[in-house]
Amino acid sequence: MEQKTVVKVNENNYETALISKSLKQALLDLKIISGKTMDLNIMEVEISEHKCAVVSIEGMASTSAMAELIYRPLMEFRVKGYATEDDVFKFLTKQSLLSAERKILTTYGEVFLTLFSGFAVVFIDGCDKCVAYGIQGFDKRSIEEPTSDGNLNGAHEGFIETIRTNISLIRRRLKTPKLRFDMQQIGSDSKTDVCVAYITDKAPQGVIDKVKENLNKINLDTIITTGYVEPFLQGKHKSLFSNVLSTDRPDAFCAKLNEGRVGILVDGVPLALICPSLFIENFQTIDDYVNKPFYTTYIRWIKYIAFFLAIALPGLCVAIATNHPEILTHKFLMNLAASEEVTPYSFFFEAVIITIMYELMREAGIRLPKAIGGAVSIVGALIIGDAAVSSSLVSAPLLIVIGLTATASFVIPNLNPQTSIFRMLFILAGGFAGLFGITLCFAFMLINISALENYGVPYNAPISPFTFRAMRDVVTRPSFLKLGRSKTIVEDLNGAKKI
Amino acid sequence: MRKISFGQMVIILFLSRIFYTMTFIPFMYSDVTCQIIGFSICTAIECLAVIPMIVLYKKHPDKNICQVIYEKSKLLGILTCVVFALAAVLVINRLFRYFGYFVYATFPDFLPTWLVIGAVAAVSFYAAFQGIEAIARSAGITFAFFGLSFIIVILALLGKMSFSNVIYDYPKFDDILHEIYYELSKFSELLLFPILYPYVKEKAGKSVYGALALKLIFVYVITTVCVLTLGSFLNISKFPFFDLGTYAETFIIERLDAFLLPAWILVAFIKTSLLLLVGKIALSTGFKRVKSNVFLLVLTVAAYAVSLPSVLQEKWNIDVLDKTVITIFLIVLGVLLPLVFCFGKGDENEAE
Repeated sequence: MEQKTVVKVNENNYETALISKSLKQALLDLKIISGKTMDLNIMEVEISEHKCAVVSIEGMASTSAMAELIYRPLMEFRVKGYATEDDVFKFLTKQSLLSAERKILTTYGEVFLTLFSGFAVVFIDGCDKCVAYGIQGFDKRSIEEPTSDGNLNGAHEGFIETIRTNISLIRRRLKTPKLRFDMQQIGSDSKTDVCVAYITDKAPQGVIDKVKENLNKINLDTIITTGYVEPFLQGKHKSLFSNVLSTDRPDAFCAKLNEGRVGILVDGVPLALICPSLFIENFQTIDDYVNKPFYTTYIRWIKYIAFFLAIALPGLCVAIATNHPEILTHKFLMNLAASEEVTPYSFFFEAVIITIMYELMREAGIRLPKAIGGAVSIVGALIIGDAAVSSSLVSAPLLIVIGLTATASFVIPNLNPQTSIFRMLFILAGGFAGLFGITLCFAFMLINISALENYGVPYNAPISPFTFRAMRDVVTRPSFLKLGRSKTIVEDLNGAKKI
Repeated sequence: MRKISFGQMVIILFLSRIFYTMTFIPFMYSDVTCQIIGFSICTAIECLAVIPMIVLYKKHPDKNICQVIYEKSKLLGILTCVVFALAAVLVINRLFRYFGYFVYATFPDFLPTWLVIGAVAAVSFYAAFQGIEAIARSAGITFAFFGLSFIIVILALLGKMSFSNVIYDYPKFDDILHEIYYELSKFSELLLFPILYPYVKEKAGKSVYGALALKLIFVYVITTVCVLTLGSFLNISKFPFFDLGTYAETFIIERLDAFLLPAWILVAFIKTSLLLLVGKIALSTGFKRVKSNVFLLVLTVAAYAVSLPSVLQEKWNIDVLDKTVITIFLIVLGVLLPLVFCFGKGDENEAE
């Protein structure tokens, strides 16, 4: 044991190295390991005339909490005569309540992990252990309304970047001891907290184990966003669609946990991942379960139509106008021909150009600051669109089609990357090969979706494989009187397989 | 191993059969009465023909026919595997030619036929590469889409059907025999079922009868609708089923065959991918050292290459190959081989 401390500790071997008994050596080791980083705060103090040191990271620990909860009680501690290291350690660990969270540490690896998580660590001369207190005080964003998944009638709380706050948002909604949070650190450098959340009697054990196994396979240096974790959860299927759902809403997250899904929270990201997820869930919002079932059913079908329009409308228009004009009614055809007559390019080419322009404007609107982003849409819609039609560069019907397509794609924001890609593919297929091309493109999409399966659940369940009970929440939205009687959980959706 | 459900198997078998039905029923060169009689008799024969396959499945629920034969005789097993792959290629070749003919007849200046077939082959390869589950799930959605399109067309035609269009003719025995023979050559369940049944979770045997019943209902409905709507026009119609769509006119779109065309293309792609999968599974059973996807690629290229000369020369029907050769293959692989190997001791875990 002692031999290990004799070996010079450095930034490469510190993780398992034991803390030196000598305070001087321990503090020296900390400086060597951290490369004398400027944000390492070391405050040497004497507690009842025994040498100690309080170590923290600047900006990570709350200074007021440190003064009130650590320094004041430490300074007030007195024993008769000269205090030994055992007296101080006993006081720190058994006779005081300096903070709600307390850990006893033995290695430098543990010390740095807790320091970087906002703890204050008290070193005692002559003791090979130190005590860490949770007095995190770093600045964090307050809980705000979710930005990506807006709603009218549901809760207006969204996840924030701090994982523990997110956990509390979930716990507040699910007050059951069956709700479990298993925390682990991922990323050899970032040591990011990643938490697996599930309800024990609802999530299949196979899925929980598989999720944890997949997370353990991550061998990245850093985890900055959920995008770093997602590919490891998705499995080996190469699909344009993702079978891991992400949400920034704690209420939606809780609803999915209640259906037997497993959730993953990543520290530093205001999003949570849910797996396994289904294609059809991209059409479901929290408002669906607030409004009356008849209205929700109606809106759901609007969303399905919106998805169809978002991916296929321009392609279908190109295919019909270019290759199958006989399908259109006589009047429609005449109107289309009249508007196309004045434009210099073919309908197909116009559609490709306008779609690219639309994607360009959309991307610019997202990346620019909000104030300027609005201006981009004005420039795009009013100036370029109007000018293009009035100068006869683009036909008005095509602009209506692209406008309708763009609006439809806003209805299902979760599927935006996929709709963008497939829209262009459908236009190209429709332009070159008419309805035949569109159908082959659709077949490709169908196989792409159908091949996706994760944790034993097919992505296009409950449509195919067909599950009648779950289909009620796809074709309609059953009332809670019915949903309460027979709930569908993830195990019901896996067709012929066992999870 | 068991991955797809009973319902999915029924749909797979049904879709693989109705590809021809959608194109050539009611067949223009034959009387409708003869077709109905011939079709009904043929379905009865098919019900009997599948019995050896079902007995084989009940004895060896976890092994396809190639595995059963391979375990008894390696040489015969390999030969069976190769013949199965060959049969799959031949059936795909027929499918490609029929498909090519459809494109040629309906959209002559549309796209080069070789390119159309190449695109179908490529997408089918991708589907077969993804495996039986992906195909089965896609088949489920295709079935729904097909059913919906069919219902829309029939609803649009309701006002146009008339009993005055029915022209009854005395059935001729030769025509009925021809119909039976012609129908049997399309009985591709005989090729698919013995290879795919180990993938079905339950009631695999009944799935064949389910598919046959579904097909029979569909044919009766489609023939009735065609006769009541098209009448004597049937005699000159190349594709009566699609002409129904052309005839159905709504205030939104002129021709509803736009609905039927995608459904039919999807059915063609499902059928092709299933046949490619069957060939791949068969060859992988016989030649275990070679990666199965290599076989898949070889089969796709082979099927396309074999079809190409006929397509380029616009030889859409090769009667000897389409009827005689394929029928012999189907009877040998789907009836005789199961009949020979269904005797003897079965596996311990018998099905159903």
